[in-house]
Amino acid sequence: MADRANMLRRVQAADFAVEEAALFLDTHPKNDKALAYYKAHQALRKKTVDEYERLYGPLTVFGNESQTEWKWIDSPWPWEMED
Amino acid sequence: MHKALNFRDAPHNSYMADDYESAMLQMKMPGMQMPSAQPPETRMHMHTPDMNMPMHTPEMHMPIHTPEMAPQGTRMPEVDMANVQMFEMRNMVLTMAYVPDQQWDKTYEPDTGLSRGTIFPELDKPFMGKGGFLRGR
Repeated sequence: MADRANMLRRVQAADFAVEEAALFLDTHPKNDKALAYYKAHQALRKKTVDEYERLYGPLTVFGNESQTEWKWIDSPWPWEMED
Repeated sequence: MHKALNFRDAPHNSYMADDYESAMLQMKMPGMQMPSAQPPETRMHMHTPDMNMPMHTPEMHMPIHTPEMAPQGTRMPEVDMANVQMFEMRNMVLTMAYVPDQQWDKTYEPDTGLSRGTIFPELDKPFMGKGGFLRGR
């Protein structure tokens, strides 16, 4: 469970980094450094999300990877969250 | 541009020269020439009296240097932008709200950013109700 929580934390951190870059870019749409940061962290977010979903199932309803099963209902419900 | 900051509109009014010089030293403007080294007619003139401006410290009288405002024969300094921003702040009128433009600078690692609530160290200002400080200082 610790690994799962750690990996989820990495997803959240990467997700937040992308959001922050997006807010900056809203007011600085041609800023090279911000665009480079966005690109790098967009890739990092995708990598961490894919990794998490491959191991622990979909994070959102957009992330069901299985062709044979709806995995969304397998992940813990909010009242089942342990940490 | 605020009228009080425009050189060409300013009346000749060089009584502030000493204040100006000491303010320059205080601000450490790189490459800035001191007005006392120039003949009086090319001296920089400090300000148009303006009821909206605070008038009580030397720094508040500083003109902003842009090429269009440079008097004849004055070498334009290479200005440190951080100093210019400080400069402009001191010339701002009362009761008006300003939001300085954020520059992209260093960022926290994503994990630190998530903990701090921002990836930008310059925006990391926890309001603790016990006086302002920057984290880590």
